[in-house]
This record gives sequence, C-alpha cells and structure tokens, in this order.
Amino acid sequence: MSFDRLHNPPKLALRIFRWYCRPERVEELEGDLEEVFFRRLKNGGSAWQAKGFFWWNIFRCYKSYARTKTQNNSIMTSLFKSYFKLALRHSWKNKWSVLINVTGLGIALSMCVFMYTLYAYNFEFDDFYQDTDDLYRIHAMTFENGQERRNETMPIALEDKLRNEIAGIEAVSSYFARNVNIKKGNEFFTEYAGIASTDLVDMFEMPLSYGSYEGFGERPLIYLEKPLAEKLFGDEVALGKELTVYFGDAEKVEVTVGGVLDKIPLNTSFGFNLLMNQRDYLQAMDMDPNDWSNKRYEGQYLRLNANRVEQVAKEINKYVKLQNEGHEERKIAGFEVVPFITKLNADDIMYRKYGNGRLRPQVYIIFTVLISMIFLTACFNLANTSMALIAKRLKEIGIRKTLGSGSKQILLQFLFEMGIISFLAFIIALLTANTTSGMIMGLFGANFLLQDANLTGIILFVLGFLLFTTFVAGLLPALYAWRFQPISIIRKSVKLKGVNWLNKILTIAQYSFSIAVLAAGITFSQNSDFLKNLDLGYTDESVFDLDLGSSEYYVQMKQEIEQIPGVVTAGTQNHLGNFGRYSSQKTLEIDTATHDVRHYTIGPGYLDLIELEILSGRGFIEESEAEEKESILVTKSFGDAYFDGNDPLHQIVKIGGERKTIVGVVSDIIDDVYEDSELTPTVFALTRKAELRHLIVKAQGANLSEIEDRLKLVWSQNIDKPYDGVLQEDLALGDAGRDTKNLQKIFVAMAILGGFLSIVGIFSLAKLNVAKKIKEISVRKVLGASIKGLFYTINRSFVIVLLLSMIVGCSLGYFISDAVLGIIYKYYVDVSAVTIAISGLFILIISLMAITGAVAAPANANPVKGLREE
Amino acid sequence: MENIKLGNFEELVLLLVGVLYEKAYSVNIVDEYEKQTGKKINISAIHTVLYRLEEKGFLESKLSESTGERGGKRKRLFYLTPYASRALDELASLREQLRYQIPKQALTWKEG
Repeated sequence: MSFDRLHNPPKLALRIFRWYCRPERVEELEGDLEEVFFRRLKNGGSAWQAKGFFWWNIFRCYKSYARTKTQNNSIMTSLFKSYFKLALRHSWKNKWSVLINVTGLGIALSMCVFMYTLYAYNFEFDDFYQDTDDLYRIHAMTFENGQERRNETMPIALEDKLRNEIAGIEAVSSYFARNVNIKKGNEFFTEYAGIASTDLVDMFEMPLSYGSYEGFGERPLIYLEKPLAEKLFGDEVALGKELTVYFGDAEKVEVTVGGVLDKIPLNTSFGFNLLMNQRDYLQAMDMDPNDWSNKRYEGQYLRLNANRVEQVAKEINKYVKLQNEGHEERKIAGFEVVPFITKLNADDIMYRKYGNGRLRPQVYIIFTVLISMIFLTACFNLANTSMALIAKRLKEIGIRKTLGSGSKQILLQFLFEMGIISFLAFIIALLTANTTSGMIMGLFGANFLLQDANLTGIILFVLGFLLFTTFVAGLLPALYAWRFQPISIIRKSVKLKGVNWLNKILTIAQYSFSIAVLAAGITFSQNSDFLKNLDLGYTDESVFDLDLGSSEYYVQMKQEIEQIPGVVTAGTQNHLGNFGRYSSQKTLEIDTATHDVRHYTIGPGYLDLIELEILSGRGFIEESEAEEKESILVTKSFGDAYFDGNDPLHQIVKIGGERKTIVGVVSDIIDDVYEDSELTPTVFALTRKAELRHLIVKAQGANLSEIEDRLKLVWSQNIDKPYDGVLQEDLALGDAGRDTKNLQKIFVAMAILGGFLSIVGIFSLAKLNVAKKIKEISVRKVLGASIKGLFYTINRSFVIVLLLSMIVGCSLGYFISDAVLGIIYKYYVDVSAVTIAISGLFILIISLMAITGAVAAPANANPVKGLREE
Repeated sequence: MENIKLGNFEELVLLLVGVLYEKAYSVNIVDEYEKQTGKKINISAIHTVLYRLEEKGFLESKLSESTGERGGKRKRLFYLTPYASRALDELASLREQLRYQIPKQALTWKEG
C-alpha cells in the first residue's frame, strides 16, 4: 500500500471522526478517508494540503455519518438565527471590548483546559490498558520509622515461584526501568529502558506501529518508541536494525530492533523509550534469576481469577522467609496483592521501579487556586463590561419590548450573546491549550497534551464550562436588561443606580483577585530564593557531584581533577541529596527492635568537604582501621526516633548485623522540602577504601562554569560514557528544587496575565464611564473647571473602588499564598506584608494611569463636541 | 410501470456501481465518477448516496476480506440488486422511448 510513513492523517481529526461516527461504520469510512488522504499524497499533493482536505472531509462527513440526526424545530431555528444576527451586529459595534474580553477569557480558559488535562492525567491513569480487571500488583510491605510502607519492588527470584509453584496464577510478569546507553555505530545515546518479562506484552497493551512481538524472549529483541526510532534511524525503517545496549561498562547485549511502538500516553504505569526482555538483561549482567540474594528488585504483576486473590496472597507470603534470608539488609514484613488499577499516588509507594506515577495532589491545589482566580477575573471583566454596555442599549430594549418582545426573549438573547463570546473564547482556548500545556509541563520535562486525554471527557468539560461562563458572566447583565420597563426607558427616567452598584462590586472582586494573584506570584518567587538559600545541614554551594557509576575510575579521576587549581575533592560511596537518592537502606537493631534506616558509606574528607556540622561527640578518625569497623555517626533525628529524644552518643547498636558505637551526632540533613517530608534518621559509616563511586569536587572561589568545563574534559579523557556530573545546588532538593524554580516562572507569568486582564478591564470601564459623563465633563469645562479638577472628579469614584479592592486583595493574597505554601512545603518563606502591599499599590498606580488615560481625551477635547452629541 | 424513486445522481451512482462490478467501493466510485464525467465530487456525497440506495433496496453490500491495504481496514463493496437492474432497464427504456417520440421538427432550427 502506498503507506507514507512520514505523513499520516492528522490524529486529532481521526479521533473526532471516531467519536462522532456510527460505530458500525467506523472501520470502512475511516479506511476510505485515509485512502483518499494517501491517494492525494501519492498524486503529488503536498502534506499540508492533504491534511487540510482530510480535516475538511471530517467536517463534511459529519452530516451523513453522525450517530444521530438532529431534529430541526423551525420556530426555534429562526429565533436563534435572529439572535445570532443581533449578537453578531452588537459584537461588531463593540469590537474592541469584545476582542479584549474574548482574548482574556480565551487565555484564562486555555489554562482551565490545561488544568483539566492535568486532572485527566490522574483520573484516566492506566485507562490506556484494557481488561485490567483480572490484573494485580504485588507490593512488599516494610516498616520504616514505625510506619508501614508499600514498595513496588519485589525480589526477582519470586517470579519463577509465582509462575511454577502457586496454583491459580494465569500469567506473571516483571518490569523495571532504568537508564541504558545505546551504541549505534560510534555514537552513544542514553535512553530510558523498560525491562520486562515476556508475558508483559500479553498482559498489557503495547501496540506496535510495525514489527511484531514474535521471538520476544527467545532472541535479543528491542522495541523502540517512535521518536527514538526517528532519532536513531531517521526516515529509514528501523525493523531488523542492530544496536548494542550497555547496562554497565562491560555489561552489554547485541540486539535487533523487533518493532516500533505506537505512542503510549504518559499517564500509564509503564513509561519508557525502549522495551527489552529481562532475559537478555540478566544474561548480560550474568545474574541468576532464581538467586534470592542477587539484590535485583522489580515490579511484579499477576493475572488471576478474582476469587483466588486471597488464597494467592496467602501463598505468596510463604516466600517472605526466603526473601529475608537472601537479603539480610532489607527485610520485609509481608507481601500484598492489590488490583492493578488501585489508585495510589506517587507518594504512597516508597520505591518503585518504573517510569510514571500519578501526580502529587499538591500540584493540583496550587494550580487550581491560581487558575480559578485568573478565570474569575476574566469572567468578572466580561460581566463588568457588558453591564456597562447595557446602558448604551436601553433604547433598543425599550423598543423591542414595546414591539411585543417578551422579557424571556430579551433574557435569552443576552445570554445568547454571552454564549457567543464564550464560544469564541473557547475556540481560542482549545487552539492554545496545547501551547499552554507545553509551556507549563515542558518546564517539568513532561508532555501531556489535549489529544492524550479522553475526547468525550474534554468535550463534556468544554460544554460544561461554556455554560458556566455564560451564566457567570452573562446572567447578571441579562437579568438587568430583563427588568426594565419600556415606558421609563423611552421617557429616559430609568435609574441605572443598581448597575453602578453591581459594577463596583464586580470591579472590586476582579481587582482583588488580580492583586491576590500578583501577590502570590511574587511570594512564590521569594519562596524560590528562600529554598535556594535554605540551610540543608551541609553546604551545597560550589560543590559538584560526579557520579562515576562504578569505582574503577576513581583513583585516576581524583588525581587528575586535583591538578585543577582551587579545587578540593573527596570520595564517597553514597552521596547526599535528592530525596536521599544515593543512600542505601540497612537494618538497624536496637535491643530487640529492628528498623530500616538510611545509611551512607562515606570516604575520608567527605564530611569536612560538605561542611556537615558535628553537634556532639566527634567526627571520624580517618587513619584508624577500627573506626571503619566499629564507629558510626548519626543525625540528630536518629536520637529522636530511636532513643526518645535522648542523646544517642556512645550507645551501641547493630547495623546490618554488626555492632557499632555511635561516636558523634551530626546535624540533620534536609533533602526534601515538601509538606509531608520528615527528617530522616541517617547513619554515616566510614570506608577508607580508595574505590568510591562518587567524586565530590568543591571549587573554592573559582569560576564554576570554567571548572565544570575542566571536569567534563577530564571525564571525557578517562571515561567512555556520557558526562554525569551535577552541581549540588541542583541536586540537593531533587525535583523540589527544580519544581520551585519552574513554579516561580509560571506564577510570574500568571501574575502578569491577571494584572493585564484587570488593567484592560478598568480601562474599558473607565472609557464607558467617561462616555456616560461626557455631558457633565463638557458642562463643567464650559463653566470653567480646570483639567486637574476634572481628573479629580472622575477619578474619585474609582479611587474608592480601588482602595477597597486593595484591602480585600492584599488580605486575600496574604492568606492564599500562606495557605498554598503551607499545603505544599514544609519549609517556606514567611509571607511578607510589605511585598503584598507593594503589589497592591503597583496595580493601583497602573490602574489610575489607565483611568487618567481614558479621561484625558474627553477632558482635553472641545466641550462643543461633547455637548453637540445626540 | 411502478413508481421508482430514483434521483438523477442516484441513477448515475447505480450505473457506476454496475460498471465497477466487484470493485465498487466508495473511493473507486469517486475516481470512476471523476474519470467518466470530468467533474469533481466529495467522497461524503458518494457515501450518503450509497447508503441511501442500500436503504431503498437498490444495492446490497458486504465488507471485503481484510488485506494488508489500508492498514487492515476493510472496505464496503456494493452490488446491484435485481430490483436495481430492473429499475435501470425501465428508466433507460423510458428515456429511449421518450427520446424517439420527439418530433423531428422540434429538433431542427432555422439558421439565423
């Protein structure tokens, strides 16, 4: 077939088609439309032309293929037609204010749509896999600091037992993911590999774009995600190509490409760039899969009959003993079997061995609060301007009522007009949603777009929101228009007092929100700086961590790097930072109780280099052999956790089965700043072996980027792997540090947007207000009022509104920032009242300038013009 | 003669289905239409007519075997029913009869 791999019909169009088309005809019609598309390409049509026609066809075909046909009611149709015409005419007359409203609302809604995709990410998590009813996960339960923890890390040796010794299990698969280096020719690529048992592709959908799973598990095959295939082979067909995958420096396997995967959405449990078989991995690593002490852990998944779950769970627990004998250092309390689709947050699982998890709920809270505020600002802005515009349309309403139009119809028409504005805004929102999402999510290195979410959900959400906006922004003006008596309108005796009053409340609300958003934005920026300078218990300034991966390069690297002037180095096996990423867990025994405790094995000089403070006792005596065997340092929280807050100095405990004396207590290490983080009791032990994995480099007073260049150079001369060094500042708080920086950017952007909407809002309000008062201004001018006096009179009413909103907005901003920060972080900056007051003043001044601008034109104009009008 | 409800365009499509026998599915019909008449047509128009003709009993259809073409998606092939063949015959003969009943004078025009 004339299958052009480069160009495919637009995905979104296809999805829309599948959504509306009658299910029994989808296959043939989709085939036809695609064939037309490819024919057009083959006949020399350009790709964008073919795509355009494809979209056109999708829309053209709606009438004939849709599930149900809409029934036409002729009276309603003509009524709506005339509403539509009126609304268009009216919008055209006020095109600028409509344009501003549509853009503002559009951008605010686009954030709401983004918000929706974030929610969809979680509640559609793993929806991609079908028929998961009979699939289960196994968790290993451990106790840490007295708390029960779930780990989705199972000993690899369990797999064979599950498959062969327990009745009722229909299929078993293991999965874990890790970075590997792929070698193609002479080039290296670091990619994220999913390593799975053969059964995984039967249990979970992993659709292939081309290729097949035949032979998976029999010979070394590799399956690439499409972007990776394109990166490696460009336009060529990847099937059958040969690659080398490196797991370590020498551990490698020659693989053949068995296929290219279709896109799997980000919100699925198994996230990877490439898929390989566990058998090949174990062979390359020279590991016995049935050895209980091989220290290999992974997620394990079962397919079994629902009524066998309890029995199977009981039988699996037989192997707890085998596991604990094999892994002295990491004992578990038991196994549990839970349905695959169990909704567990990333935080509920302590250790997991695969790419994707659900999002932290904190992410939602913060975005929801801010986006709703911006959204409401935009809505109020819309309501505000339309209320003000009604004053201009009083005569229209009066005449229509006189000619027999019912109140209901007037109400409907106003709502309809609002509906059109929000509909236009929605088109903008949908068009920009992916850009918004890309800009926000891209900062976090993720990409979850509109088309990855379920289409029906999106459409329902959009419709619901459309109605909501229409009502929030449209109901008030519409109700107003409805109430007027035609006779008083024509007589010009109608009082608009209520309108002004409502306008003021709306303006205050709108202003308060934008001041609050701005204040929150600035506070978040300050918080980011606060976290950057937070005392972590050790120094993270000018410190590089080079993760050598293994110890073989250590001596050579250390020697060469110490040649660089202004540099000190130290080595360690486990390095601090990033949620304790490099730490190990060891069993701690005090009297008869056992606990899992975080453990760092460090090299000589390490504590001095990172400036870890010794609170009591002493540091390590680095020349002593006995020190290595018998002494440990612990953090302050260790005493709190295991010695009821007493000083644990000189106590004797067992770590990993060996007796150790606590010779010193050091300050606690902060490596997580989120609200639920706790200071983790930590043990340090000394090793004098020169073979260490991390080389820590501290640059004293030298230029950091210069030093980093030198480090990279030394690395490339010694190690045949990509450079893996990082500045401790970036590593110390792991994702939290990065997230904070990104949140800062997002908040500043949102604050600017909120402020912009408000200023634009008050500008159009001022203009309308001035237009109403044009006669007053002219008469005053004729009677000799100075321009200054005019500004004063007109600004006076606004100043009261602005001052009120400043008070409301500042307090709102204060409480919201404090509450949001408190929900997310454990350590956060004190919200400063001064900052918030300044942001309030800032908005106030800018607004006064906008108003003055609006008043300037009529105040300076010839009063004759103003008086001659009408 | 019974009342056959068949539009002009519908008749044309019926004829094309007959011409393309065994290969009559929408995309081919569009091609054939463009080739025979020299006019462009959108595929959705053809689809609408095909399904309507099937409803009226002029056509019957079945899904083809799945092949490597079109990413394994099947095509819907259309066939004429006996009713269609009778209708086409009747319409053709009606037209022919009427054509020959036109007096010659009606078709001659004086020059100038």
